[in-house]
Amino acid sequence: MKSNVLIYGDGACAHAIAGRLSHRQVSVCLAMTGGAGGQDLPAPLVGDRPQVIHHTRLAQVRGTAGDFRVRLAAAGAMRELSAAALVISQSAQQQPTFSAYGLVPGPRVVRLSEADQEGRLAPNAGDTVLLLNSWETESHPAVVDGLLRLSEGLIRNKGVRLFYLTGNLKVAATGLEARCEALKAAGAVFVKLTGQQPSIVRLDDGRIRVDCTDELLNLPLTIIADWVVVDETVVPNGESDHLAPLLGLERDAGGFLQSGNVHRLPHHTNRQGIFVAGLSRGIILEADIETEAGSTARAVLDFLNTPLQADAAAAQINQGRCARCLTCYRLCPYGAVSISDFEEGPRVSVAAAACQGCGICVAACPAVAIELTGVNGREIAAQLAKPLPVKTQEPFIAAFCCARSAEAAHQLARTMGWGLPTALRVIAVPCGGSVAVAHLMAALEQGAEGVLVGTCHDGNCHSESGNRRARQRIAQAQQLLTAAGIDRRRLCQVSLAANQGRRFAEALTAFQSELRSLKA
Amino acid sequence: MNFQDSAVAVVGGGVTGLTAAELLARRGIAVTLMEKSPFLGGHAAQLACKAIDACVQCGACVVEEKLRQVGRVPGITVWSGAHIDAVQGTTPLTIGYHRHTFGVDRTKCDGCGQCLEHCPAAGALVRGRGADLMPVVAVRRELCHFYADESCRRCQEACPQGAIDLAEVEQRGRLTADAVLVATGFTPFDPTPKPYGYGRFKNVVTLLDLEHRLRRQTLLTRPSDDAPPQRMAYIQCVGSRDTQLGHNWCSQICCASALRQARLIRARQPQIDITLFYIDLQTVGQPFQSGPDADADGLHRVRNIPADIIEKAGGELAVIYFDPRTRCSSEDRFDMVVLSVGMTPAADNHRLADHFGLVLAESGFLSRAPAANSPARGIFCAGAVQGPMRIAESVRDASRAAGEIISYLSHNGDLP
Repeated sequence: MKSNVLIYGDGACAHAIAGRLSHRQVSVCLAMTGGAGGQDLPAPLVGDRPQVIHHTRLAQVRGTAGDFRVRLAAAGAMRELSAAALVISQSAQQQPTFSAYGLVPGPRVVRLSEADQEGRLAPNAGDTVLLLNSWETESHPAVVDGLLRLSEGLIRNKGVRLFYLTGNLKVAATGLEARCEALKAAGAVFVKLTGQQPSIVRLDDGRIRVDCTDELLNLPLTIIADWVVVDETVVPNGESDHLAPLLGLERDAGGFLQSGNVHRLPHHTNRQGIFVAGLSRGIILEADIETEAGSTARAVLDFLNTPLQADAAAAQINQGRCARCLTCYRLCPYGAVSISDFEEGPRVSVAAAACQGCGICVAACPAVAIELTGVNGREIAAQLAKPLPVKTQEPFIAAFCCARSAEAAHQLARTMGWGLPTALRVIAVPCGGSVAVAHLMAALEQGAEGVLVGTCHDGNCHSESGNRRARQRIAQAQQLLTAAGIDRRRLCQVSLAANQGRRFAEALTAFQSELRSLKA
Repeated sequence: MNFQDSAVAVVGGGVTGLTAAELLARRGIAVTLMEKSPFLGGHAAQLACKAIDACVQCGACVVEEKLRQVGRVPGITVWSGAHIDAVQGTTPLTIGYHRHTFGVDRTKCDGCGQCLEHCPAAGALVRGRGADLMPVVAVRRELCHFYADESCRRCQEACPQGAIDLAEVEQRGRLTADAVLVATGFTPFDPTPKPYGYGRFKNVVTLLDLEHRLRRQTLLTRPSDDAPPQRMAYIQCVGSRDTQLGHNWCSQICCASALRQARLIRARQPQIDITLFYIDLQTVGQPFQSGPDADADGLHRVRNIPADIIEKAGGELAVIYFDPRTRCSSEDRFDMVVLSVGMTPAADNHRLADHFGLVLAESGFLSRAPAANSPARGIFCAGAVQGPMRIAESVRDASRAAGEIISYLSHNGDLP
């Protein structure tokens, strides 16, 4: 069985991506954890209908971008297929929030996602329906969107009296504020609560009584509700706990399968050829699913149509020197290092298609067995040896700067004419993490009186951990300096963004003064 | 038709236009990126990085990266100072345009800035960024003395590269495009008519003004006397969620921007006391999980939008508001007030709608789908021209639109 793209996920977004890719003549396999129920697949106009596998689970993924080998577990049997790219687009999980309002679910107390179910919320005309949203907990525009849709239906079709009690109304999405205004015009009452916790009592007849203060009128307000709908929080599908380690994916603080790193936007992960979409990467509104799916399909097509990176541009392991310690395998943020079984023992190699050329492995390899253009000792030494454009008595500073951030800030400072030390040699490196202890020491040996490593801010490193690795290497080198009786302040790290030219100039000037004071 | 022989005009060089231009050019499509201002990057490129030690996901660096990529990818022609005059035909479209070069020849200018030192008219010469990220200089005609009475040519005489020619002629022409992406973005709300004294009181600034300040200053000072402020206030929803103005939308970015700014300022200058006046806090996601009333970041939060600002002696500002806790009218003194101005539709949206057969929504933003009766085909819309959008969503929408354009071109103009 062969498929170009495997889409793993249930739900509307996964379906929409499958439809779009099929339409563009990509052979798609849609693997769903659930059954056939739910949405029908859109019939593509051109190309094959996507192959759909139900009740299956991703069991293993090997290989790298352009050549993934996937095992799917279904009905006690394993299916194997190969895919050039993977798309993860699972559904999310809604969690009820009854306890946040001191309520328990009951016939008249319903959670948002159940309110749509047949017979669950069945108000008569004139009944009072009370919606509770975000009293103490943070809500989300997607949840508000659901509550508003429910409210619109109730007011239009059922003729109910509707109260919407909220601590903080999240309307930061297209159309929500206008829909709130329209609901108010149609008779819905929105009550804002600031720092007050209303009292909630269940009456003998099952209705719910709420006492609070209407802040606009500054009057006590009592609502006797025939029906109560409580909001929900949206959390990642439990499957993401399984997928993150299986695929080696970073996650954000909420557990979604895309780290908060802005450089992963919109659908990239730390692994080339693995894309995340929809509720697998964060909370999205239903109205945005088409945009999300279109954008994901575009990203996948782009990937399929771009030639994979040539071997020469990637890090390369010298097999003669490699001690098979697997440091590179552990540290590679992109999962680009693979181990294959050879007769004489394991062989460690870098998959060019997945390598992003950050050089973290180069700097970490204890056997100095990894080569990458731009980050080897010879090239760096040659750059350091070049004479400075002006003769100066100032302390000579070598600055290793991440090409994505600190080096761009350096260029900005230079062209804007913001004062930089004259005795400065900037060495652009692909990532702060590519600077080895040996490079730091070599710079000092070649006459630098101070060495600075400029990295991205934490959480902004394209290679996720490069800035942390740089800090570790500086700490290690500082220990060596201390042991040799040299002041450790001759080594330092600065985090910068590409547009912080002013801060680059300030940091370098401050470092220069510090070095001057060490000299004195 | 092979889509790789196609030409696409991307109108607007902000984050959406830059993203789309790069994605299209990467697939071999010839892109003309038309920007009316002298510089690429739009509003997003003017933001300051607000990381304290860790990134706070403001997205300013994303735009920086897009600018770099647009400079690297072959196949993108950048036209700054470009304006659309007329659109004719269907497939392909013929776009009549005029463009001017802001008095500076970009192939010669190296951004040295000597002209800036000689210019007697404040703000008439500005330095920004071209496609390759290098600063270039532009002359603002409305402020330049030469364009008033031809009395001054000092910049032209000072330029060591001979790059400045103030007497340059406007260029008119026609461009043929198989598809057009309208990505002209938004206009920040002009708070002058609001009772906050913007434009009259020196220490009343907008969120965007403060972003510019934070790019230049690590330690913030107030405009009136360049002293560090002691007490600052942010007023949210200026021009958003405002029924009187008919702005029934949330601008989506301002709460998070204000909080990021305030936290950065307090991290660098902890002595500054900051109050935030708001309706609801519209932050989403992990960096803001503290909840609306949490005081972890040391900000005072008042859930009310002030009614008035009065300037007192020494540039001090008296802010009048209704205090929801005491239920009384209150007055607080600040020495700097930041107005979180929202996103509004650009004034020329109706002209774009006319040119391209797009639909102007009641709000003044453009609808994504072309008008049903429009004969024009191959017209696409993306980004904040459709309504308020964050950087992350603009990037996604540009990606969506680029995909639709490629699909349109590869199906001989048939849309799925």
